[in-house]
Amino acid sequence: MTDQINVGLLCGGVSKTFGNHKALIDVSLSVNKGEIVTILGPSGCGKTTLLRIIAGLELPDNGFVFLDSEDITRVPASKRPINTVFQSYALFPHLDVFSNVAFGLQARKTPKSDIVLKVRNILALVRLDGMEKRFPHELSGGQKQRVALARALVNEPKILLLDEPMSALDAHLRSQVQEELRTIQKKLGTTFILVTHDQNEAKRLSNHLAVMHEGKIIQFGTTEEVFTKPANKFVAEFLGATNFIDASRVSDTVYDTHYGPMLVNDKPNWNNGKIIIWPERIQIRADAVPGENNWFSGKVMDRLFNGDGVDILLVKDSDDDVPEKPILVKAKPDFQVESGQRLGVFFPPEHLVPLDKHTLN
Amino acid sequence: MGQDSRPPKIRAQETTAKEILTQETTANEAPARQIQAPIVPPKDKPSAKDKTKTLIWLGEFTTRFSLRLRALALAGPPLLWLTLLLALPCLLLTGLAFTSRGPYGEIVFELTFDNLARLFGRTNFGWSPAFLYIIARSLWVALVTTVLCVLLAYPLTFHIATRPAKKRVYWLILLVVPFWTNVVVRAYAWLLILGPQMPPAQLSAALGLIRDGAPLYPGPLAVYLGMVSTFLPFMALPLYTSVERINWEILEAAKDLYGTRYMIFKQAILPQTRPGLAVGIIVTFVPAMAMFVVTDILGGAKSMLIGNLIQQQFAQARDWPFGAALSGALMFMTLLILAIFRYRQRPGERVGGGLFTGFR
Amino acid sequence: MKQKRPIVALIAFFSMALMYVPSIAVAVFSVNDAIYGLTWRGFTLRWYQKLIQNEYIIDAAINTLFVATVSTLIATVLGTALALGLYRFPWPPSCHRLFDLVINIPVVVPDIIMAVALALAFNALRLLSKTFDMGMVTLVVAHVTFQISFVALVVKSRLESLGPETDEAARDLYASSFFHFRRVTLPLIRPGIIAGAMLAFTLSLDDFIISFFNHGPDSITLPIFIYASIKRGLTPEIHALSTAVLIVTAIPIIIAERLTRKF
Repeated sequence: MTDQINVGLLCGGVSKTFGNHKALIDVSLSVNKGEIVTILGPSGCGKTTLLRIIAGLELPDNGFVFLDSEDITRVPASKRPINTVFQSYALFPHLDVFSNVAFGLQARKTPKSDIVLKVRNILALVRLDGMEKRFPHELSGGQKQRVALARALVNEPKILLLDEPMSALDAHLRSQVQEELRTIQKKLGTTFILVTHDQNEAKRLSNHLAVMHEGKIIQFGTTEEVFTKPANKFVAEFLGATNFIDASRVSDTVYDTHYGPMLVNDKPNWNNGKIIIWPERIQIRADAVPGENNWFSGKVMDRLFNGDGVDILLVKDSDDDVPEKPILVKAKPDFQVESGQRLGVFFPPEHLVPLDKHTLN
Repeated sequence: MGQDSRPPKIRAQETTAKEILTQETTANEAPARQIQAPIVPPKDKPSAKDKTKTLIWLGEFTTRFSLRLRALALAGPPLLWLTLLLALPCLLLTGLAFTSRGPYGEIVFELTFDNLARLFGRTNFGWSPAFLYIIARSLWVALVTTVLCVLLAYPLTFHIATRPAKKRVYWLILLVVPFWTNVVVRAYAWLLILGPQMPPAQLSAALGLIRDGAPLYPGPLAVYLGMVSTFLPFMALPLYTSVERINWEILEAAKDLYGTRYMIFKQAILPQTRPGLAVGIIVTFVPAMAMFVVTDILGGAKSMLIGNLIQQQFAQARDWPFGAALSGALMFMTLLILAIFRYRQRPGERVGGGLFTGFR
Repeated sequence: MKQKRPIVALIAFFSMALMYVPSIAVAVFSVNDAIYGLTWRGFTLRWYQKLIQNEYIIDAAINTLFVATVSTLIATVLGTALALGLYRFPWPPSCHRLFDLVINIPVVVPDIIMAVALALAFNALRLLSKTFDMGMVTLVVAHVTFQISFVALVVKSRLESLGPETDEAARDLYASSFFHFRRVTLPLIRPGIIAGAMLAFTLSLDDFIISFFNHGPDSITLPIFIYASIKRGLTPEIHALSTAVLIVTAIPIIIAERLTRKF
């Protein structure tokens, strides 16, 4: 606590209202150098507004933005060492690829020889060599994105902002682009801040995650933290959780659920609430083993092939056919089950995540 | 820089966050996993009604005042020009309508409604609706012209819209070029075509419709030929911009649903082409109403329109006040037409928007 | 896409014919080897030769080109400035409706009214200075007055097709106001400016009514000349002149068409 670390980016108490709409309400965020942070949230939650405030394209009504201990709240965008990759790429249609990429360097009066060198290097990095003379209307979506990326990165910004980078790309390109972004980031060490509504991107790309809703940051932490322990139902649902289990406290470590009493390692701060478990964490055995903790007998409702695995929907096997929402379990592709088959289902206590009671939703 | 004015260090923040995570939360206040807002360094809050209130416009950090200043520097001179040379004179013109012409052709600056009365038919010899006839005729000619143009323009634009893309370009260029042909030239060309030795006149004479050796002008036929050939591009170009966007499926569905062509048109075509049609009508009717050249060249005394009348006042008759009154009447009719159509898309937008229409 | 009805095509061709027959007729007669009468006597270019030798026509042609060029230059600058000032700055929405109205007035108002209003304005201004006697100056000024709106509308249309993102991207990339204007704004609206200029030029070349009311004895333009000739008596030279005028006015149109389709 005695060392002075260069924070990187620090936003504090940022608020922004557009007319009647409160886009951001007292938002604080801190990003360290070299991190990849994703701001995740549904449309209208304020994530793009936050990004624009960081970029310098919006002025916050309240709060501050610090970069490396310098107050940049009222520093114009053209003077911030931050560059943006816009959702629509915003390439200059009247300039070719080379001039687009060189724009920022020219604006800062970099000597010509340096410009040529830097542009060539960055184009090689994003694998667009040879495209210098092309114009934006001659490029594909993926190529345009790489130009936008190159145009931003060539200026060696302290922070790179990306607004929904994958939204305009075809699905098959997405994973490829995500990989490339990771590679580039590792190579350059630039801090990346992404904004998206797709939780898969968040998972694959970033090492820190902030979930936003209606102008507030609901949860912030490493990607792993947020995914394994979502703060509340909204975050859990947004991240794709579907197995919500009502639980009531029996003792300090045991909670009663529809599927029987369960040991829960992570103690909730309530007596009645919801617990989630991720589909990949549930364990199945073809033969039921009654009596052990956290086991119950389940009946398979459906088995769906899902690209790189199997989705199994099952319910508790009981005599009364009370309709209930099935539990989703993800298994390896070769796992064979049939509808109606009975299985033993195990909820590992360390993977039962209680959701906070005292938050939105 | 004192210690307390620096932003809090990141380590401190992480520690605080972790502390919160592992703590037993007793009360219901602070949600567990959220970053606490760091201590805000003292900042001066900008006063609300600051004249130098900054904003960001198109990415530029500036003040509203500076922006307004720049805008006025740019738009000021042209607006001044238009005010001095157009807006004010129009007002003067309106005022002039209430003056009268003196014996030597000068203007007598006394408020009088004589011109208006004269317009409505009061003369020294009783009521003579001559001028009203002229106004009515102008409206009628404009109406007929517009209707004829609509009847021709729909098939024309439909035909173009159903051509393959490559051919369409040629059709459009062909459509645009006559638009720019000088009105005078186009009007007098009909004098040639309808001349006595040309086929149309000869044929009509042979059929006994006109005297032998007479030309097919001056007369309504010549006038309408001149008007329609002049105004057809005015109607077709805006209409085309709507027609090219037609959803053909709706048309197919209508063909299934409705028996008569009239119904198909009314339910499927008209709604979709309404914007283009509205612009086309305005851009045809208003100038047609005020047309001077075509009727002057191709029409006789019987085909006088209000445009011709106005020109007469300013040329031969030298009666500027009356001419002003007539212009005022014309202006009034124009505004009436515009109000009736209450166009949402301004006709000027047709200018330069992709299809590069404009008009004269 | 659609069934082809022969009657639609028929009417389409008829309409096209209706629009082109006048111009074609004039062109045909301009090469007809006959002084009077309208019967075909053979192909000749002598009317064009006489054209070039006719002093009055050359004068009128020079006047027309001069007025068109000067007025276009002035109107392009003013019109572009108008479009920029009105549509590139944050005015309240009520102002925008007013602007639209003001800009559209010259476009909608019948030209005869504008001609009369301008004549009136010059009469009033004549009391101040003699330069406003009917002549070249009044002609140029009159032309500029109606051209400004057209240029502004074309540039405005171009401006509106550019979103704010390009400007924000430029700022994000360290552009100063001047750099931004020179390297981004200006090049992007340039096609609009040129198209507007072409439009203004053609309007000026073609104008009759406004010129008719606001010219002086030394500033006769070609349309006025042709009109006067109709009254005096048509000669084949006039046909040649008209054909030449038609061809010359087609050129800026085609250029402008090309430009407004680019981006």
